[in-house]
Amino acid sequence: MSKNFLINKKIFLVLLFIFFILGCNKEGNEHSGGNEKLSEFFKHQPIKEILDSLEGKNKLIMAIDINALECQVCYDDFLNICDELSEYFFKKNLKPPAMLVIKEGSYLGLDQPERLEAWKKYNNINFPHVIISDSLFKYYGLKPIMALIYNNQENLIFAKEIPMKKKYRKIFFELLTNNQTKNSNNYGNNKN
Amino acid sequence: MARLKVFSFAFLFFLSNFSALYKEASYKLKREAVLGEKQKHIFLKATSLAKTDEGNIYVVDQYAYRIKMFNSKGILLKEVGRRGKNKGDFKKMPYLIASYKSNLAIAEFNSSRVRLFSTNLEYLKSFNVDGIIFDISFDFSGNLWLGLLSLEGKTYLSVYDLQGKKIKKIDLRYNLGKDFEFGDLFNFAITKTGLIVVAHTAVNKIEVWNIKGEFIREFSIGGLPEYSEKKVISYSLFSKKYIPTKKIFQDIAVGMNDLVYILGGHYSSNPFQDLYVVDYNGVIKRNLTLPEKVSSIYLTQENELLIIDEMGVSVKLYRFE
Repeated sequence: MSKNFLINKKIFLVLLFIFFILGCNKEGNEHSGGNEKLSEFFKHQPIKEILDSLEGKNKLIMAIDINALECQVCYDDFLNICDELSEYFFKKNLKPPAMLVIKEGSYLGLDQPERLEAWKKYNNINFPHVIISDSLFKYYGLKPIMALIYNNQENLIFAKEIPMKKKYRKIFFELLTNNQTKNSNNYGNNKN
Repeated sequence: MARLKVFSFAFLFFLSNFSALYKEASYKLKREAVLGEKQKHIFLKATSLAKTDEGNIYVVDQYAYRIKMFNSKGILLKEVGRRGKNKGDFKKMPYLIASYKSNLAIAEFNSSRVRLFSTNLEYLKSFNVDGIIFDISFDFSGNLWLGLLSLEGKTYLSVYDLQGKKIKKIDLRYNLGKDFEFGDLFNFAITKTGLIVVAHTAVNKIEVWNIKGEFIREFSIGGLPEYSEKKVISYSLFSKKYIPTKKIFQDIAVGMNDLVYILGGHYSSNPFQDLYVVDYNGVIKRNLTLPEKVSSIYLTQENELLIIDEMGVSVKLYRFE
């Protein structure tokens, strides 16, 4: 009886370990399903035009579904990221290498040009923006609020949802503020 | 023949009452002003408002991190606020506002911080309370009443003075328990005679308390379900956690003659438009249907009704005729 118990216990522990590993991998593969399309996302013409006009080796796209900003934590984190980037580049007398891609459709009408400008003004968001359709947002596999960084070889090197965990946040800022060292790394993108 | 007489009498009685009801239902509202009508996109998302004795109206524009001050004609006089960590800045989005004489109390969203401003929108001070604030109102002696949510998920009323000193705490009678997340949220209003009238969001119960913290009575509104629908949000081995998926009541306010106006939620005949006007005994005095869906109501002692529309993009001032 005690032998059976030990065998069962071992099987249980092995299964637990496997589930643990699978659980860990889940986070790493968070965006793997949509990565192929996300890698091509910046090539969407209106987006590419804006990205080409920005200076810097690595460039940021903040993709947002404005309705998802109802989540206070998400909204706060999104605005904090915008603030930190703006402050850093303002001190260096540079424009942040960042743009917004906004999903069409907002129950508050914030995707309407004048209301969108008012919202950006009130919240000190100075990044250029493009509005894309819901179907395109889905096609590229974008999450409601997401940060995507592309390098100058046109590779997706970072893709994470907002609110962003601390461990990714540091990498995120390094990629945008210290372009020399991190280009070859790949965070949240398993293709490259 | 006698039966026919009784039936005819009953029918006439019904008709007379029906016409009286209809007359009450047609109680008219005259639109006096649309706040900031001349400015485009005046509100990104208005969430709360208050009117002071001087006649100015203050609106919280949550997505703009601003408090906007209007005169009674709806002209924007001043606006303040910004997101930030400096003195007077909002660390989180402003959400609720209440006024008492020369003071405005503002609560941030999902926060336990109260910020006090003068009616000229100058920042005065802040203090923290012992829970997350989800409703706010002054009583007529200037104490601040707050609907609070504790870390354990329990809701209650707390009273603070303007120095931030806690005066008392009141546990309400209806608590659905810890397995019902956000099921015990409520709105409340304070009458001039010092009664606290509480409308639960997910339970068809109105509780009446006095300012000393003594329970007076409770009542329900006829025609509405006892509880809101719910859905399971998480399972554990021995229990399930639920959240309400609909609202029975959306807001509450006190008007002239201490009548209580309760804005119905999803289950009303006209969701977010029907106002149940009751006295504090729970006797329905009239029912009103607002001209549009509304997220928040505010009544003044001058027979005025201020509303924030469902989306929070416009604020209108009506007068009862």
